[in-house]
Amino acid sequence: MASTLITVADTSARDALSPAIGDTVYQIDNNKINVCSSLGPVVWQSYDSDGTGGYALDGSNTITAVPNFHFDAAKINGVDASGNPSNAASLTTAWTSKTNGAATFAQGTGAQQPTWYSSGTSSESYLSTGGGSGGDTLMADFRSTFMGPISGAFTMMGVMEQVGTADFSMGGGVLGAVTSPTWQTSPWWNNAGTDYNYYGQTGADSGAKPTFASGSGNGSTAVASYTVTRLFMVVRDSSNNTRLFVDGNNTNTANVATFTGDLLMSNMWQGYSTVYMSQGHTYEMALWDSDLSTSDKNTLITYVNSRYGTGRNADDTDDLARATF
Amino acid sequence: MKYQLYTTRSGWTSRNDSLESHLGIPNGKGTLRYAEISQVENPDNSDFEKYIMPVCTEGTWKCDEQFNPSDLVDYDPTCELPIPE
Repeated sequence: MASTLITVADTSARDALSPAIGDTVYQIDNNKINVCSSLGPVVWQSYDSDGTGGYALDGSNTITAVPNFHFDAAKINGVDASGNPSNAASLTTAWTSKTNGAATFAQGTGAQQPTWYSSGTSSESYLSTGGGSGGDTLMADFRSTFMGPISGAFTMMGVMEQVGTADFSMGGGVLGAVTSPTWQTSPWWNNAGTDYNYYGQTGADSGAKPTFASGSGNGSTAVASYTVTRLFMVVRDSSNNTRLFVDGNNTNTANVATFTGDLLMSNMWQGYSTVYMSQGHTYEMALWDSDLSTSDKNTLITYVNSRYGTGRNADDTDDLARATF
Repeated sequence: MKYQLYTTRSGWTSRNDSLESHLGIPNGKGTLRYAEISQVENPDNSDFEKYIMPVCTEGTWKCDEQFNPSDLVDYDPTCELPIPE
């Protein structure tokens, strides 16, 4: 039986169609199947890929592993820009992942709502978070939204920019009772903006930060610049060794954390308890329940460079160079 | 984000109420309150047990203009208990 599935490049192309109820299209940029469920206005029901064929980060860079979640500040509703706040307005809605339907809760406390800006590094959208005690955070029901618990290997990715000298982190940990040993802090965060530090379960600074002066690929004039947009990756491998990588394969191999407990992501931007919240800009954040392959890591670097490269660490020499794995 | 510290819980609550009135909170769209109350937890800090009011300097709930600038402080990580080793 011959069959042809209509394909569209992205959401804009999909929305330009004039479908009948039941029409089905395949969307290339996010590997989703869209089925028209009603008309006037047209409503599409979107279904995730089963992972076969990988996950298209942007339509041209495809990785093998589909993320548990992939939050993109340019698409607050996980699909397109229609759900984005007005520029410089607080985010009062949930932030929805581009995969798995994972979403944060809407933040009901005004002072803890991040602020959305339409244009930052490379004219991309971001969420600005105020740090410290009572700082901005978004929470999720991790038990039903693919945000954990993860007991083995994982990869956390964030495209983020530290601002000022307050704490800075992706988040992690969980409030409330847990049934097994669990990371009570973000696997990576810095305290008071002093460095890109790694913190173990006990809270001790393990110092697994890239060494700016000698990081792979650095120029001879390497300097430690923190307040620039960077690609952060926290990776726990199958042997439960956890490392922080910044702008690609820059890490400190001498300091590796070995905590074996679960990872949860119930509190975004929470460094340690509710008082060490992150101050900075977040463009994207993603989590995989695996240690990404070398190929996937390098594709992720390519994707981030193509999307943000012109605006971040522009010279790629005097600071952490964007080293491949 | 900036902060103002209050000596009493009632002082913090009164200020939070006035900010919510000024900002129109609850707004009927899911924003229920302005801030959550918390205290300086570190007994070694000179502001121990004072109540912390976060003051938004950006976004929909920007309200730093409602405060005397000289009363606002930056986040001080020594307000919190040391991170356990």
